[in-house]
Amino acid sequence: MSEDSSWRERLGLLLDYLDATDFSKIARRYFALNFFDGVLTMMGFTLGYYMVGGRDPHAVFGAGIAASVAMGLSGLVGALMTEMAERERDLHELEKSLFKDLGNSVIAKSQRIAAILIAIIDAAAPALGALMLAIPLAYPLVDLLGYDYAIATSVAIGLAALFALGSYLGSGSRRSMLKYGVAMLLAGISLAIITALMGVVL
Amino acid sequence: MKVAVVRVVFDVLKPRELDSTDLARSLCELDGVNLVNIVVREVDVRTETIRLIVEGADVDIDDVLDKLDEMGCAVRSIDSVTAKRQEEQ
Repeated sequence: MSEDSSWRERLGLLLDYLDATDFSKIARRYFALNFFDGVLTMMGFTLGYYMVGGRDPHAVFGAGIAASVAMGLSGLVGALMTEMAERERDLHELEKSLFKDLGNSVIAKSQRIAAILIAIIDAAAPALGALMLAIPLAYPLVDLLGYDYAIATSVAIGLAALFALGSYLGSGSRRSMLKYGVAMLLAGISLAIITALMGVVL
Repeated sequence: MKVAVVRVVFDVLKPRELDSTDLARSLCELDGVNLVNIVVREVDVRTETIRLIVEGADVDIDDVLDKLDEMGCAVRSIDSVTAKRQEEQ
């Protein structure tokens, strides 16, 4: 057996194990939850800043980017620690059942890879969601769009992203894509109303 | 004169996440192995007890044990070994 095919076989085995460890299900759940968090947080921040009278494009863009990075970093560290700890515990349980050390086995390697991949997804999802909304906020800085239009574009992208995420979840659960999409959209609209009210109160 | 091991029967405890087909395929790719048979004998919450039969022109038991170890399987015993004398041509 050649070295090349041996590597391919090992990789295939790792992927099979990843599949068996609920990796795809957990990754999908993490992505949806954190993408939603990222979009909604950024939308709340942008609208809140605008409603209380904030008109500085540098401030809103800079803070938006900083929030994206912070959410990404928080997701990476939080998910990595949690997943590593949980998967280590599972591995110890299995070792007890097998009366065997699994430290160098394919199972241990696939569990470590799963934890790292999930942490990357957990970091990328909220950062991506927030960044999508932060990018239009840079347009006034390069005179591509007026400040008010940039805010409106950012919010519109946020609402569209929420609808797309809802539809994706609906399609995955084989239920109505429209119903899930509208439910997510309503969450975004509720947030807009709350921040508008904040603008009046504060 | 050369004597080769042509059939070995193992009693193995394997994690349930590990698919029997994947295990059989991996073992079948070892040098000197032509046939692998797995029979599940007992199912537990996390593990399965299997009867593993490995056959081939020249089965290297150490290679099989290493592969099983790499895949997270615990060998409980070697229940049967068949060796064959191969006459020189």
